[in-house]
Amino acid sequence: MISGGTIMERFIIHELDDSIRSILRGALDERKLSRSVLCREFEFNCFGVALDFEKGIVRVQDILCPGEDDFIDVPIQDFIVICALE
Amino acid sequence: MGGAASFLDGVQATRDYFAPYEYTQGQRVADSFSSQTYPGDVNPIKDYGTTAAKYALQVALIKGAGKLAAGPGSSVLVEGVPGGGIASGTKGTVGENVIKALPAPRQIDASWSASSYKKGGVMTGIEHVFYRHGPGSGFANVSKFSKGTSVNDVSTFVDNALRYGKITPSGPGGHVIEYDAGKVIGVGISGIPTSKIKVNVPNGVILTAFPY
Repeated sequence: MISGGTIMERFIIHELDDSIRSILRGALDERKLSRSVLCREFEFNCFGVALDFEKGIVRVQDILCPGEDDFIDVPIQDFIVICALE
Repeated sequence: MGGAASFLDGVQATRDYFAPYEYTQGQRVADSFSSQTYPGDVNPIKDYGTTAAKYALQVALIKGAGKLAAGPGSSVLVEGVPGGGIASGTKGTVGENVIKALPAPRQIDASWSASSYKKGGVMTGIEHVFYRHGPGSGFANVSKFSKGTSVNDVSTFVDNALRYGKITPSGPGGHVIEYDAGKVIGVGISGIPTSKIKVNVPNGVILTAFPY
């Protein structure tokens, strides 16, 4: 677990970069092209990101040292804005 | 008069001191490199090579942080002429120059320890690094160290990062350290080669390290 800050803040500061944005954009594009794409999950160096298109939420999880408060659920549209994926 | 006598005595003493090297030792030394003129059981070329190797090792160890003061066998460092010893004209004191040759202290206390990971369960930090970020790791979307990277290599990268890297506090007791190793050490998530390493240290434990 990377201490301090919310999981979302830590994900953005310490993990999110252009290559991860590209991967996440690719998943969002897949969903745009086909409604049969229901979810996509990725595990990066420190965080996991699960896009649940049916529920419309993204779960960002600390995968290094999982615990009770190791994830946060964010609406997909908010996630897109926060992570500058548009 | 007394001063002149002392001066002449000094000149003579100096001549005596250097005499064997100037007039006789030169040929002896030259002879010693020939197996025909040097029948002894010690090979001077081999010995010279050994001494040279020791000298090279010492120079390599200090990595240019200073120069050997008194030739092979000495660990005293000065910034003067190589082999010149602690002569006049050298800069600084011995103490100051020795300090220059030592690595910087770690900026934060951190050690390898066991942790529970989502991937792989309980393992040490270095095990996690090779399990998830090793050259042969099968995980997608993660950074990986270059083929041939050893445990010692990673340990050195991390140690250098802790000494010279940029440290970003990440909450109470947590730090993220970024360091440029100066050479390609692996690939980032995108697969592009990189020389940078990122180390996560929550509460003094080196949790992970990977190229980025």
